[in-house]
Amino acid sequence: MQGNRLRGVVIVGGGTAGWMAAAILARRLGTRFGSISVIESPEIGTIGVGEATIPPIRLFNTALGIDEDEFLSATRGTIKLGIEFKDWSRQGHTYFHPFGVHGTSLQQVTIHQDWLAARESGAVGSFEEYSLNTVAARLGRVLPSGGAGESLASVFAYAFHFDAGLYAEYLRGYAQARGVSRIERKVVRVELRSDDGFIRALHLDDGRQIEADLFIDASGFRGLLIEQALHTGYEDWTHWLPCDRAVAVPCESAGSLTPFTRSTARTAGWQWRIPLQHRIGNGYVYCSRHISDDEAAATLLANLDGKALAEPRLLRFTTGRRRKFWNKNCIALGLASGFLEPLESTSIHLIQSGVTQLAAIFPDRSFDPCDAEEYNRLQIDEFDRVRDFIILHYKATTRVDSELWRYCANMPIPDALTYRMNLFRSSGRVGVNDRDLFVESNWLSVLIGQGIWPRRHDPLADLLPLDSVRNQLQRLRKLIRETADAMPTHEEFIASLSQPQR
Amino acid sequence: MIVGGGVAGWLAAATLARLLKPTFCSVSLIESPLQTDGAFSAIALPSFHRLNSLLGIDESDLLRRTCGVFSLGAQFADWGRVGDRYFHTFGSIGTKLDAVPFHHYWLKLRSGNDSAIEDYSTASAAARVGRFAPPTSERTSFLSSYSYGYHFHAGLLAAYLREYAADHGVTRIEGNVADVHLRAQGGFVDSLQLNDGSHISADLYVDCAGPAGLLFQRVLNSGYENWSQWLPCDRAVSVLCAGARELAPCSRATAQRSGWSWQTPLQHYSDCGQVYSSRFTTDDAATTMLLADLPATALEEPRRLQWSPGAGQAKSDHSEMLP
Repeated sequence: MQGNRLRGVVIVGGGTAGWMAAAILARRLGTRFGSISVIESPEIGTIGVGEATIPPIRLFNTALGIDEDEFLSATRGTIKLGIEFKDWSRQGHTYFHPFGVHGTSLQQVTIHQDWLAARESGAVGSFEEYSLNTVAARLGRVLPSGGAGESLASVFAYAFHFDAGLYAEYLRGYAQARGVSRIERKVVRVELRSDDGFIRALHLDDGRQIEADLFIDASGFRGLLIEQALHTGYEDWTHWLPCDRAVAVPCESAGSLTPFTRSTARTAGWQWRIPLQHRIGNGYVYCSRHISDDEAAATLLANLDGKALAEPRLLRFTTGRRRKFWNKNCIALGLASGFLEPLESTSIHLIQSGVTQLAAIFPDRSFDPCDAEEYNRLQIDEFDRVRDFIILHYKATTRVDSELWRYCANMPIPDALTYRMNLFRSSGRVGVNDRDLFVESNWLSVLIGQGIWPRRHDPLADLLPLDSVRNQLQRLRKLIRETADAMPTHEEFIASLSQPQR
Repeated sequence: MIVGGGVAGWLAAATLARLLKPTFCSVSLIESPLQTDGAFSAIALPSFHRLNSLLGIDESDLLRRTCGVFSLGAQFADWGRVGDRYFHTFGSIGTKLDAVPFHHYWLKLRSGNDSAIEDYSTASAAARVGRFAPPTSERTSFLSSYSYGYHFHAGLLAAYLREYAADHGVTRIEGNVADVHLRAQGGFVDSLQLNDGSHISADLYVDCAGPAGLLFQRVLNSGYENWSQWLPCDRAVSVLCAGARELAPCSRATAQRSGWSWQTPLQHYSDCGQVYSSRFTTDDAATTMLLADLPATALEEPRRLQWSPGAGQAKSDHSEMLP
């Protein structure tokens, strides 16, 4: 069987996706499966600006053996405890989608059911006060790794904001130190095998030919291999997620360093704000049918914390995904695999999920179709579930102030999402699946935050006397507040990191 | 209101009684004075431990009073082909090395038939030599690599749960349901009429009446999804025997010409039976076959069971969404 092992992997594209793939493959395979090369064109800029992530990124860094403090310093990263959503459910309304889980259960039901039961008689505060992440985020405080208070340690979680360009650079150093070669050239032609249509070789602009058994397409939106060469096809989701452009600009920091991403709904889309150590990343994701590029850029520039540090950059995209992520001997990662707006910071996670899955279903030269089928089944499922969670933000709104919001409030949505929303409306229950990336606490935050209210609470929340539930909720709320108060401020935490060694 | 005793009915009664307080909601169970479980034994998977901890059941007390024993899995014989044997273990097989699942190394290194994958499972190895030790939580020990289930005497398990339920406030009603009355509007169950003419009603009914499917299929016409094209067996005959000389910590399922036979050891007893397809053999032939090959003296008359394989139909197209 050893004669059948892969003799080389070529990754096209040196952005976050390309270098994440190179790093994890170098870590897992070393050079035992032939060479790993990354072809990156010196002329093509990478898209990543300020990038926000979700907690599983820490598993990825751990798998690579990366030291968290060193990583934060190298990428000018900050701590992220969740996302603040402004003006989504209605103008003037703000809610927080935290990482981690809410409270700890008092009885047989999850805490939100107790809260729902008790709030009818008042004096139990908002649901957000039962999330340690939310309370800490609002206070601008964070918990350094490992320092969680004992009783609440299990409810806290965090991720990062970082400069995606610096992260790619950091991973490039990591991968190159482990034998990955970097080819700074442009691919001018993709040569397919005549018998089965697999990719045989890539022709570079210096006349070289690069052969490999496995090709990873991390070339961005255009999908140089997966689409332009293999014509895999694309599933368009614009009818659910109509935004198709973004304009991005970094600006100077001002005020305190918030440990969260902010997403502000606007007339024709939404604006992100991602705080880094040295600046703030901003962008306006919008629907070109409802606003002009100039108007979008002007709106963005008028809503910055500090002075813009560059010219606004325009990005065009079509929300959706390739019909297959793995086609023949090519696997698409990152923007080459599909696009979901970064509303829940899932871009990097989907890359991570793809490369981790590739390492778990690593092929040999026979390229048994079962490998690709299983990979596609799992990754398509992951992509589609994330899509539904993002659609929820647009669907569950009472905004009627612009065409985009009127459209979204009335649009048909995927059946699985309708089912979940109806289930929650009925009983406050969230029908999560084992494979869901976003679990009960995530759905709760967004469902409640977007203004969807259950008609009733779980009847078992009435098992304990109301007074006792209320007292326990009050104690929990106090404990969460005290735990958050004792954390260092985000600035203090970042200042405590050792400076990068250059 | 739970209809039907037996293991299913009393398990439901005990669990609901534990979760709910009598002041919150009353729980009753109607059981026919004659009802017994079809099978002599009941096999529990490792998931039963969750029930133990939910109900606060003391394991040794439970086993003592139900003739219960430990099980490390099931021995399958003659399934792949006559003469084959394999063990389906309640434990893990080997351990991941460098994030690659163990069985890939076994596939790579095995030559011919010199090693069975179950040789790398502590639970399988222990079951083969008839030994058992409770698993530990010490992760470096091989004794942490498995869980275990139980075999119970079904009648004694039902009695045990009945006593538990009674202690937790469940009312037992002795009787047979003669008729089910539905509400004119909506078609929900309104009341049950017993054979003494009395009516009883509740808000929620749990149907544990056995294969007859008293409420759901017969009265509510909720539909039944038939699986007999995949699972052709639809009958069983079984007999309670004296205990075997050696107490195996596993159950045994041996493929036969028209189905399969089981042997499930208990304390003092062993439960033996034949599962068969009525399309391929007769009741008499199956009974003769069972009685011809008993490991010990039969203690009771054989019991017969019949069913149609399948499940109540899911009403919603989104049933896969439910946790």
